[in-house]
Amino acid sequence: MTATAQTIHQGIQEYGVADSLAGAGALSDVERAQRFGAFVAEYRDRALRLAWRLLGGNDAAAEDVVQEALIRGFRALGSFRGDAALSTWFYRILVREVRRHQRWASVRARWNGIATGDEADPAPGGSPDVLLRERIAKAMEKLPRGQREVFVMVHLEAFTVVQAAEALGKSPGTVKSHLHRALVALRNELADLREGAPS
Amino acid sequence: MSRNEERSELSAEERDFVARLREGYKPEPLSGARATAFHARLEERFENSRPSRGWFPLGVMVASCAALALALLASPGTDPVTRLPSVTPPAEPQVVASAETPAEPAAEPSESESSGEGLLEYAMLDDDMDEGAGYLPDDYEALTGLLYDDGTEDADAES
Repeated sequence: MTATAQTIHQGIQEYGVADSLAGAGALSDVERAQRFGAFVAEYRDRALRLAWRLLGGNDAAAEDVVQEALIRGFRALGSFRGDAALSTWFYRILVREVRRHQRWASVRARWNGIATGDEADPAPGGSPDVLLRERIAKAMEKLPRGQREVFVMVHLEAFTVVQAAEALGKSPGTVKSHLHRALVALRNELADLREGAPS
Repeated sequence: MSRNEERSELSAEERDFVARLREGYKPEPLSGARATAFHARLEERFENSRPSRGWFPLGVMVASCAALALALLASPGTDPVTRLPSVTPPAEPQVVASAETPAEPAAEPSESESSGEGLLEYAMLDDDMDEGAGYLPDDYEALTGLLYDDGTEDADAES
């Protein structure tokens, strides 16, 4: 646990979850806002990157999901007892919010009779970087959800297998199995990106 | 298991491939106007998320339901049970044993779920986050109970 996270955690424990949730006790609005600000500063950037990669490169969806996860995480902070890493605990909330978003996006799309899924934000022009990003996003989209999640967390976001397993609610063995299958599938789908392949 | 051990499971060529994906598939940094808008929206949502405000309509709804139930029960000469519409018990679900690995949960609703009720049921499904419930620290169990009390805890059907 980082020093910042520990400070937040200790502060919330000191005042108690009821006070922190309702804002009716020792925590003033200012203190509450300050602690929330520290919580956001701790997780914002990595959470945005993770959500963006899980949501197929959709900026707006990633920002929406991260905001919801930050608020839910902060509200639930008082129930955190320290027997797991606070960061992993938060990312578990984030992954759940990503899944929730995807499920509702799918329902909305089906209801409206349009194509499903989160589309990447349209980028101006067609630079090689943008085209590559779109290709990778489409290849990721083809992976089963479980494989996509573990690949993004472990290989793109540098979570350990154990951290990813805890955040996703899977066993480490399942995570490793998903990692292997995802890598094989992506290497086939994006064969030209492999070393020595003609660009 | 250290991170080095995990990475050593990849060949040099695989590590290079993964590095290309990592560099090629990342968002633009949040800066300038986007960051300002992000924080303004977050602050607004944070203020609106206060439970004291959120619980008020729920409390009103619960109180209304309770009052309605009491009124029904207190009506003289009536049997509240007979007022209920008849409900046809659902058919017993057919359980088909299969030796194959179960498929991963569908990412989208099926055609049969396209009706309004089907879509709603699909949207309310819990996901498979608790496949490793016995494995996870208590904090995760507490989190699930606190935040997601919809009660359905599907087993992980992934391979």
